[in-house]
Amino acid sequence: MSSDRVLIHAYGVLERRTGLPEWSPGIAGAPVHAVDIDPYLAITSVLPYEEFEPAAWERHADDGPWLGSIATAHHRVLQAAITAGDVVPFRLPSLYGGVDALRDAVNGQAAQISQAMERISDRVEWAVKVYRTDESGEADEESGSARTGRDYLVARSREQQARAEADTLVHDRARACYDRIGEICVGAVRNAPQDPVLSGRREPMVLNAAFLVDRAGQADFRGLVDEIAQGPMSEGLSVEASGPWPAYNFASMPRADSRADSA
Amino acid sequence: MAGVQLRVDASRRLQGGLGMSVATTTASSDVALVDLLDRVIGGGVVVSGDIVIGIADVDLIYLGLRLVLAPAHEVEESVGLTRGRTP
Repeated sequence: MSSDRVLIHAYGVLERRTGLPEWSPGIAGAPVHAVDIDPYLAITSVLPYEEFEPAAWERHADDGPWLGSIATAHHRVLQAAITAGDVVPFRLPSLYGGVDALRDAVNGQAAQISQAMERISDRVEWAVKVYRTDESGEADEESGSARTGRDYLVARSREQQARAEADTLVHDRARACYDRIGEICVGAVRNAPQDPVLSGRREPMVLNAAFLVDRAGQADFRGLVDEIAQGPMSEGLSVEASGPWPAYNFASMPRADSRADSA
Repeated sequence: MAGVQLRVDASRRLQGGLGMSVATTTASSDVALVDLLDRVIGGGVVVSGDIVIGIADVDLIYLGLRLVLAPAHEVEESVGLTRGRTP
């Protein structure tokens, strides 16, 4: 049984004075509309209730393709929006019973949204991931060629020590890269490194960072990352940047791990 | 090799041009699903509306999804996103 009951999905809000981009279709192919909620424009799509109600989310809780398609469409719309102006992205799920419910919700969070808008104004997010590329197996050979049990233990312990030292060095280097990049950014956060299974990369990820960058400073940002990636600072590491992203990591409350307390 | 194979061709491509050994990609040209989910579920402003309250635990959904992602080499095909529709 289907009804014509609907839900409003909100991608995020734009400053009202922002020019609007040409929207491509949003979630489930639905058209994208800007709804005026003073002082913002909420970016929305109208979705069929049955397919997106809370029970549907529960039903699809372990359904990668379903959530993946929503996440992708949500992101695409926001990505188009940041070409036009500053956007405060909303976290998924972001569904409302109707325009009035959305308006109440936005008005109810007005302070948080306006702080976020101020923080990200004229800025975008860039991501930097650092992978470890220095893995070596020399130590194993050493213990493999040991003749006695005692030799083995000594070699083993040396090996462990060398490994620990290498680990420390790698993490210190990654940290130094993060700190150095953070110096030219407005904000910086470190997220949990992605598991190789999820990243699809064999090398272990040692840094998964996001930076808030002035729009005008993006060339400098890229230049610095490039310099670091090719310089001695990142020896044994692979440094990769991506962006510009909507400021997903900087739209909610500021995180503790900003440059200020990076000591 | 397991892993998230889903790649999304999104809106606009910025020209790299800076690096040689450096992979300076852009968010829009080549986005892995895990990166997307980290951001759209893990980031952004939480704005609670009446309906959202019904969706109890986003973290659980996310966790479930991460588990599903692990053997995700089939995901690419089942998600309609990579199916030819260019943005």
